[in-house]
Amino acid sequence: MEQSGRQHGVRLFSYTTKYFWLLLIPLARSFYSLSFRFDALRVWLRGAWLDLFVLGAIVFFAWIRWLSVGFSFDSEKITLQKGVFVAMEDTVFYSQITTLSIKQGALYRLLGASTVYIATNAGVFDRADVTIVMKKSDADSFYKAVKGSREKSLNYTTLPNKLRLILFSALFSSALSGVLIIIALLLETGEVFDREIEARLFLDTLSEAVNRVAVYVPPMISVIIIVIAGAWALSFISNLVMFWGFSLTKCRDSLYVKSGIWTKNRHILLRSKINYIDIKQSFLSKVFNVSSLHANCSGYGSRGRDEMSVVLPITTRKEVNGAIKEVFPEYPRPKIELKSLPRCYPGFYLMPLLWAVLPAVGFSLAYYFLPEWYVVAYPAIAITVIPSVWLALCKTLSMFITGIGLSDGYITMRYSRIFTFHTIVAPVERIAKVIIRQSPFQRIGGTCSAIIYTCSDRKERHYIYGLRLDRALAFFDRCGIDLYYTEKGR
Amino acid sequence: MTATRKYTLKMTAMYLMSGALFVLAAAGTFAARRYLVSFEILMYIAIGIFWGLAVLFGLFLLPMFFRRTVIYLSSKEITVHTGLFFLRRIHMRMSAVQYVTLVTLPFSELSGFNFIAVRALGGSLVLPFLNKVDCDEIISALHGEIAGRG
Repeated sequence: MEQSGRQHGVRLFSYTTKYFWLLLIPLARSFYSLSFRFDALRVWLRGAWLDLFVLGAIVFFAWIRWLSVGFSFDSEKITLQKGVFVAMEDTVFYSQITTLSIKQGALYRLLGASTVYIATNAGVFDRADVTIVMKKSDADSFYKAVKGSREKSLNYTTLPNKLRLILFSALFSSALSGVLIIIALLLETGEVFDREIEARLFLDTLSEAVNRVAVYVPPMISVIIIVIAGAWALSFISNLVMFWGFSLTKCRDSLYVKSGIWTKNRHILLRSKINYIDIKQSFLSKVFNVSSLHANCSGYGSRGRDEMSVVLPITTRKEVNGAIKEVFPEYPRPKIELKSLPRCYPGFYLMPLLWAVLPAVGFSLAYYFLPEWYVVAYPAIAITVIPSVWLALCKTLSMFITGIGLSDGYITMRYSRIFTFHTIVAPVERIAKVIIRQSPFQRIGGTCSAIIYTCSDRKERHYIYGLRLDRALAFFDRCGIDLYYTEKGR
Repeated sequence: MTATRKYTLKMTAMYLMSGALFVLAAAGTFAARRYLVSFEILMYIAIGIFWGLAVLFGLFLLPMFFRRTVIYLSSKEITVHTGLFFLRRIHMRMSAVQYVTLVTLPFSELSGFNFIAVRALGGSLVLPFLNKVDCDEIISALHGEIAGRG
């Protein structure tokens, strides 16, 4: 049974944005009028016909574009027609869809529309191959059609415990990511010193909050507390909103994921196209053995759509291991056989050191040239130093866990990237590229860094620092990766 | 394609770039002598920097890069040995290659300004300054591999 139709009418408005530049014409005209005439308003009104004409043109172009896009789907494929002068037709077979995502925000729910993203292992990286806004009924039928094309089997469903989700989100929210946002805001404010009113407004608000807390604690500490508390709240709320109502259902060949409060999300992932699984932890969750499970599959967790590639939100490690056993039974337990060498440990502190030194130098310069801004610069240094101290702590833990392992044709990579700890398990055939890199110091010490790129719709590099060179080469040789190391140059 | 083929970079490209650097240094010296004559110290510093960079890149870094960069191509993988201060051994699986981009500049048959960007799912690899014949051979080998997947 074939079904066809047009996109939901709400798509018309998103198409109008492409022609907003046309508004520059009446704007320029108004500007011209205001500059040279006293009765500018009247002149502007007299010229309104042009504005109306341009607005009409915008709506007309959007309507033409909306009219030119159509779709049809049956039980095995979807076809998308587009183009005004040049007709184009894309046909995607369901068997090639790695991820089908259907999203419905609050506004779209009111209007009865859904955005459908179809991703395959081809096309533009980190972008859905097809993005289309459908009526909800059409999107539901399409979802059913794709679901119907997948194998029927006994299902395994997991629903995270809501109380635990709240508790863990509260305890292990990545406050530092929020801190970084606030630091960026502070720096942004610092960059526009000449826009003194805006800077003062921000600082007055902050100082008001500081004064209230300062009754109990010193002002300097108050600033830090406020920044961290604000960041924590942001991170906690966003985690909760994203993962409330999360459910994961596993069938023989697919995973079905549903989540969200405001934005309702539904995803269908093709299991055979999953590139790797990733157990993510922050510093605190590492210490308390709590983690979340992610899966890398083309189109899932796209950065452009503010999504995360989660298959199990934050929970106990025991539950994550249980979910891996059920959902990815072919994946072995992560096992590390080649670890970072103790003589490479100092190298782990290079990044935290840079993070600490650069802001200090920057603000020393700012203080030297703008001494009146000392009041601002002093707490700012303290705030910018917090992440470097935190990073040093993370790196200290990272020294003891970084490494790689191989078992049953799967590679395990354990390392930290900024504040996040990753344990990645990937089939060996999903390794796209390997770089063995040696700095001059590493050449003397006979060590190296392995940079492993896994197949993905975006650049995914896993950096394993401080391995013994001969052992790393032997390891990759076992993976079937020949780096021709003994070959001489020209 | 069964055996491993070894490719090195075309040295003409290096000679041209080194020559261009020395021409630029001479032009910079001429400009400094003409326009910075009133600031003698600045003029000598500028001239020193121009020639320092030309000698550093033209006589040391570029030759080192060209000598150290070697490409190995087999039916299973592409391996590149390269690097100046950081030695790098890069391996890319042939099965991961999605498509290939060829970049050639005018007179590339003579100059060696032929580049191949190998695009894989998850990363890309640039094979720089190739001989035209080598370039065609690599391209046809890669296309053959991609087409052979069916």
